[in-house]
Amino acid sequence: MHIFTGPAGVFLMGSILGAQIVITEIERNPAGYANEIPGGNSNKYIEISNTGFDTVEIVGLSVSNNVQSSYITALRDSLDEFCAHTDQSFLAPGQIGILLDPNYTDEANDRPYQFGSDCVLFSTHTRTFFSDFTRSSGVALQNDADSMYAVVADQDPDRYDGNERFSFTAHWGNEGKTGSLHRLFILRDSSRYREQDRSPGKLPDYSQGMLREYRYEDRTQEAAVAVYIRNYSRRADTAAVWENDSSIGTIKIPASGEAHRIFHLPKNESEFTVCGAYFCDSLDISSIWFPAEKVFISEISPRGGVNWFELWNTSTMAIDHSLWTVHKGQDTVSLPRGKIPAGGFAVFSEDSLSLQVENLYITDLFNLGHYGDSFSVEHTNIPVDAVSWEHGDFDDWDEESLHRRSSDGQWYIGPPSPGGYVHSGRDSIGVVVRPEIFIPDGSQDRDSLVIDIMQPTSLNEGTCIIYTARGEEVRRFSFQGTARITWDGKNRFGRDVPRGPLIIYTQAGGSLRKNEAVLWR
Amino acid sequence: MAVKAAVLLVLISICLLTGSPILPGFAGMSGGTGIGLQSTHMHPALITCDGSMIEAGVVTLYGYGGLSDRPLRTNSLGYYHSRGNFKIGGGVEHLEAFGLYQKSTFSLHLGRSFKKNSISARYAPAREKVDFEITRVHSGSILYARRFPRSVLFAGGGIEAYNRNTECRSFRVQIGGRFEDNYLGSQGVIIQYNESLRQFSMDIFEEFSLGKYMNILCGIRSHPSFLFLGLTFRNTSQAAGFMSFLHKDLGWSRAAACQYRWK
Repeated sequence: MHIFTGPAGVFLMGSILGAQIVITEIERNPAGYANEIPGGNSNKYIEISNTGFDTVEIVGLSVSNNVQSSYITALRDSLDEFCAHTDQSFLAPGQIGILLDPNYTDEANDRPYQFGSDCVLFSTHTRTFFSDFTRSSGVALQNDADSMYAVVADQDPDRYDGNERFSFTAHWGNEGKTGSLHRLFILRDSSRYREQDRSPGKLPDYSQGMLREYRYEDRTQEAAVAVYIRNYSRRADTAAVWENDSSIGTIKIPASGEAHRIFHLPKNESEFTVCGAYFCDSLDISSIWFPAEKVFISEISPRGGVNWFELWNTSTMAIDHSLWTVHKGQDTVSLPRGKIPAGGFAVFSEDSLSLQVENLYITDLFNLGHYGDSFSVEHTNIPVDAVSWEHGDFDDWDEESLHRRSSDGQWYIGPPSPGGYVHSGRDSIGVVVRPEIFIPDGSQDRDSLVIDIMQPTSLNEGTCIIYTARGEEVRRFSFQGTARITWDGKNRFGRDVPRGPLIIYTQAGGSLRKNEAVLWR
Repeated sequence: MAVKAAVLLVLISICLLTGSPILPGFAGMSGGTGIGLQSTHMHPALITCDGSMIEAGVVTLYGYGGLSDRPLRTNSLGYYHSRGNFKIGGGVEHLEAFGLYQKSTFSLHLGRSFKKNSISARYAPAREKVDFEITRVHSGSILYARRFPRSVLFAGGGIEAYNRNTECRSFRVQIGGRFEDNYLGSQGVIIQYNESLRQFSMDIFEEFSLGKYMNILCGIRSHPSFLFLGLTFRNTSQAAGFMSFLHKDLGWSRAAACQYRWK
């Protein structure tokens, strides 16, 4: 049996039993220094899961990081305080195993992990195996015949020559100080790994013997949510599926079996809930789906000293970009976890910006070409947006950004406005107003209207006036250079300004800008 | 003739600096509810026509075009009926702002005349909507007018944005007069006090007749500074026209309206 499952280079091959074993998490770079713990590197681990319906003997298999291999042994030291199984040689269906560094149980180690209550702890026969399990290491499970059960590597190990180490560079997210690499999906064919908080012995949406996964399903005619449930218990169940308060169907889950069903995708902020007798999942629909063409690359800054780009979510729902990636040529960068608010912006930069920007994420963004380049943004396998530019298309382009106001709009040059937009033209000031709808009630994140004014010089003095739609001036501010103005929704006499549209008029250095907002109470 | 020309030149100069705050057409009703426009002009107490009248209008503000993806515009439709001393009317006005906000205002007007005196009241509940919430707001106003052979004087006031949950109420009081069909055409002046902004403003407008059916409207407003210019066409039963008004900072707005009346 040979299953190849994707460009990240993870594949399974071996026997049916082998195909059941999935490497679900790897921790290669734990916080702390190796010499602080006797034996060093003692807090690294490899998490494996038995996703099949047969018990698999684990002790006796070997694990390789392509520098050295080691037999897997049962962990015989007691770790009862963590409620995990020790001295067990197998993984029952649905059970999770952790391969720990033999030095983990050393009394000098603070043993930092809280394992899942039903996981099984293993170790390696070779005490130095984890010393070579470094940030670029791949990992493979093998049996005595050197056939591989599960591998995490950049490419098929058959393609490495005999002297070459197979490696895994984790395009989908490198481990941070508190994170490890998690397999993106377990029940289906995704073999991608990305950084998330460490959770040894615990899988998301797995409880009471029921492993659930929710995925976007791109049907030809319509988008849908695919629900996968694998039941390792001996009790059958029926899960009810709700969209907000309306029942939209059920899923029959056989004992020791699996169920799969597809539902229409609620393309808004609907709450998608799946509840069985022993579990209840509320799905954030934006974690698997985004409204096409409502989220797009709205600004790129390849020439301003710091490379960054901006995404604009013009839809009415917050969009989770935790599973999104940026692709440029052969390079892939994971976007940090987070959400773009409805109608809001998110800025992804290689470094901090001199401007004050909300929803700014510092990430390992690659260098953007000054004279021409292209990159794309994807949500798992779904294209979100792509951009390409050529210097010759933009006359007199200096250090400004390229902007656009819609997914199919024309790019134009304008002053940098991370976290907002500017109108087309060669204005010398950029003004960003947010939120578009602000609610000065003192309790929400839209509590005040923030006006960021960006100017190339700190000498220009300017005026910002807030007008109602009737053209009545309700507040006036003066500023100099780049400035931030925060307005609480009151006029100059301290009186609340009624609900309604607002026009923010800004002038400085001979440039005028009009921005829009709505005051809501 | 020279005196008349000189006075006209002065008035035109004034009008070029200001503008008329009403929709073109008859001294009808719906223009008074138009956003950016004052309310007193179209109060039933000021409407002199007998019979019924229907009016439709549209205002696009500050260059936010009606077909753009971020419009700021108002569409309105109104009806007015007068029989004897009794006046009644109503209308609906829809404001669309930047694709973010909508406001639908429904208004009911009632008026009564006592010889030369008229009084009218208007109640206008409105429904405001953004993506995540819908709420209601109320406004109301009254106006007293006294008519003379070639002029009308009026005074009134109103409360705006009345809402139980907020402290956003604001009052406006207005006093003014309109002088009709005189040596220089028709003129109007309105002084208004906005209690919330603690601000007085003054409107001055002038209507010149250019032939039997065509008129030019122009005027100014002091706060906010507006310049109004318009052109109307009217006969005994129909009227139509358009107007542009220039805000000192926000730029040009445009309005168009048509009216039809019958006995």
